[in-house]
Amino acid sequence: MTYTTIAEDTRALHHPKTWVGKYVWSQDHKVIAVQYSLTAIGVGLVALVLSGLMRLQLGFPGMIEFITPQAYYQFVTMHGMIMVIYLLTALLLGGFGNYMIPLMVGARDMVFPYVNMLSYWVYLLSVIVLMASFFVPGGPTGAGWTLYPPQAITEGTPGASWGIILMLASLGIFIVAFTMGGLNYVTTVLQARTKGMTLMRMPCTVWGIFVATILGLLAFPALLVAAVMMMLDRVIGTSFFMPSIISMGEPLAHSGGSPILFQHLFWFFGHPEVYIVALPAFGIVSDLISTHARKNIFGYRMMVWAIIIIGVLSFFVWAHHMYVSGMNPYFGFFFATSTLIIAVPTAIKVYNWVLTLWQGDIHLRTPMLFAIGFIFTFIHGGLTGLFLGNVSVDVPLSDTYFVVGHFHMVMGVSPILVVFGAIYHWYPKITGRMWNATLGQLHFWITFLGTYVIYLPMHYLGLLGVPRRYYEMGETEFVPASAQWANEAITIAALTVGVAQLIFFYNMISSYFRGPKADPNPWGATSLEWQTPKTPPEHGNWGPTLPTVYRWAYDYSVPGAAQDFIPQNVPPDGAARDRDM
Amino acid sequence: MKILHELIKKPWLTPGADVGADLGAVALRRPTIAATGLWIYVGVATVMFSLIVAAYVLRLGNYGADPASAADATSSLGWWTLAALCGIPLANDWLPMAEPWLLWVNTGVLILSSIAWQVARGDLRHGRMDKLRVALIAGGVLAFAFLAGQLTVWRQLIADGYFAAASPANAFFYLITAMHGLHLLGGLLFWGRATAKVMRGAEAAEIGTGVNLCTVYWHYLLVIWIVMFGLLLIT
Ligand code: HEM
Ligand SMILES: [Cu+2]
Repeated sequence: MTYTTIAEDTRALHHPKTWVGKYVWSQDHKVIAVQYSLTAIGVGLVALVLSGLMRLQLGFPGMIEFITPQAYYQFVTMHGMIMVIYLLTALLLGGFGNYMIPLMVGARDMVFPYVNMLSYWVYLLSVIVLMASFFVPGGPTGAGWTLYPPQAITEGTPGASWGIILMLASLGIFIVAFTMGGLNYVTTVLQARTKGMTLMRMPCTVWGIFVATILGLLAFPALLVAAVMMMLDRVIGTSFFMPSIISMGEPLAHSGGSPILFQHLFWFFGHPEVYIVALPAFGIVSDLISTHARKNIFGYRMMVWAIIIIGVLSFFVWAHHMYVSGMNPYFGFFFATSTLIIAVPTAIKVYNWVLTLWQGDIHLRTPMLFAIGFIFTFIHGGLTGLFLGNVSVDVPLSDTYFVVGHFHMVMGVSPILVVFGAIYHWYPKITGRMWNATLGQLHFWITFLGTYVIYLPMHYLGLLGVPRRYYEMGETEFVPASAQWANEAITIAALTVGVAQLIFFYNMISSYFRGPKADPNPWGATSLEWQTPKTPPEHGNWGPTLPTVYRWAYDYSVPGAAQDFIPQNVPPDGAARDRDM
Repeated sequence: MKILHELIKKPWLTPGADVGADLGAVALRRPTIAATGLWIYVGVATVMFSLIVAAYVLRLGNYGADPASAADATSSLGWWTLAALCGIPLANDWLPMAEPWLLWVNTGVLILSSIAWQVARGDLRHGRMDKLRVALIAGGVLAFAFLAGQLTVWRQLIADGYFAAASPANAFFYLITAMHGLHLLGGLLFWGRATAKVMRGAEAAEIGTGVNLCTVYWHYLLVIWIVMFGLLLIT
């Protein structure tokens, strides 16, 4: 069921002759992947700079004059939205999804290359529209990345005139781009796998990206509907979400709409969104750990099932973000329960990663360090999530720095660590060059340790009751003056970690030009992308014939085998192995 | 189920090529790929329209509740129960919208358009290219006529003062018709491609996939429209 003609038929590929055709209007999934990734990282840098500015204000209030309260709100909003959607979603699915899926399942390209190309350009448009909001009168929206009405569109909120319109438009455009890409990823996995690549022989990376894409396809429509309705409220004065309201002494023309309705739509998208960035990270981490520990992934089937179960459950927990918005107690009970249930498959995954490491032949190379770092930060963020999942614990902690600490650990830092690990892991294949290992290690340790200096104290601040999205604390009875010391330390650490990313960029850029030529399979990995005839792979990936797959992606340290890994396209030598290996 | 069977395989026990059974069906692949893409898209669009319906129901407020208990509609069971569960305060500003007769005509036109596609599909199967041409053009023209009809409804409603901002019922009507219309317009893009090919004298094999999938998509949009129209009628 996995064999395909377009995959077989090289003529069907569109082979452009000019430089522009190859690298700009390219239909090659690998070029599109790089375009997606570079754009996402570029806009991510904007978000990083914004976080530095926010931290400067929090650590040293008033030091920088242009950070007014309005500007702070705008920074918070743009930082959050860019990080979650325009960086992580775009990078993990548009970037890694595009690069890895065809190579890992043994296809020549995505099944709809033209649509795939459009997907990138529409994504770029959404980024441009978003960035344009920095330059319009009133600046970008300061409504918080959750864009809750009514304040998102009422006067007094920064960017309520133009910024919010551009934000909503940009989101709409992004969703169109994502849908075009997503159709490709899912259809390619379902229909373009090479001979022998059964579903249960796919590497976990493909599984993670595949299920995450399905989640995205089902969840983004909720954001689209919410964005369109809010746009109508803002532009033509409908009342989908806007209640009767008195703003600046004047009653507004709206009446009867419900902000809570928006929250339900938003979080019906928003919670699965967490897993849209987490599942690809789960998948990639499984492969990094297995490869660099020279062991098969512990419980492959369980890992795949857990990904699927988490994906399904993620659509039934959204209202845990709304415990303080008010809802029927039975509803709250239901969502608290479903939230705790989702912890079960998640914990299984964590156990399996640790068990894969157990007695492995662990090579602590840079990608592996990042993968192990992920296990730490993810366990940390997962545990605080259990606290917040319970209504009675969440109510006092809601909207405090405890929440900021929690979600940065679980969906900020953790996927970012995986992204770094993945870039180090696949860089030799993508560029054909090897990076500098010392710089890689340095980058890891500063980032990983810095993370804890930044986010651990935030949990404590949250327990004290420091609220999130505050420009300045002012005098309170419950926050001691010493909290400011913590804030200063956090800021210094954040700036250090931010600047330390220059090591990464220097390493990547200089290695691209001057790095030593990489071995085609430097880690001794089994999956197909390492078995291409050329490194970096050419357009069409596989030369004249597609690879045939004979085994799963985790034949590491097989007893009796000549090497400590057997690539997926190596035929069996007749006898099936004993089941107790 | 096949997929479950797939998912309980133990890949580590069975090295070997494991060639799929339908390898012979290689020539059938392209259509399957396009069809998979279409079905996934239909899933995405269905989620979107369902969410609009959900928002619609949640926004109805206490409309339709017994006037005696309208102040506290939560005491009886109805769609407002859902809103109450979700913590959405029950609004009481729902004014049913006018139901212009033109909408019935438009619905008829859309049905005819779907029928034309079905006919085109039959012609294709029997290789009647001349008739196929007629049916294709009829399908497209009828779809455009439907869209023109919808725009006319909009103009009439606006002329009669049914502005989007005046009542949530109106707002939803414009939203739903716009979303549905845009989806149909997207379909017409593919119609344009198929028709252009047929006009240039393409073989049946060349346009088979396009015509088949467009037919499915048209039927799908017809069903969506009927559900949405029904929703407008009962509220
Ligand atoms: C060096 C790395 C980072 C630093 C120093 C940082 C810092 C901050 C700060 C200071 C805030 C505002 C807190 C407040 O005033 O309430 C914030 C909010 C936020 N950050 Fe980060 N962040 C970083 C990375 C990330 C990443 C990778 C993500 C990706 C998920 C992310 C997602 C968010 C979100 C969603 C918000 C909430 C925005 C809102 O409240 O509307 N951040 N971050
Ligand atoms: Cu959540």
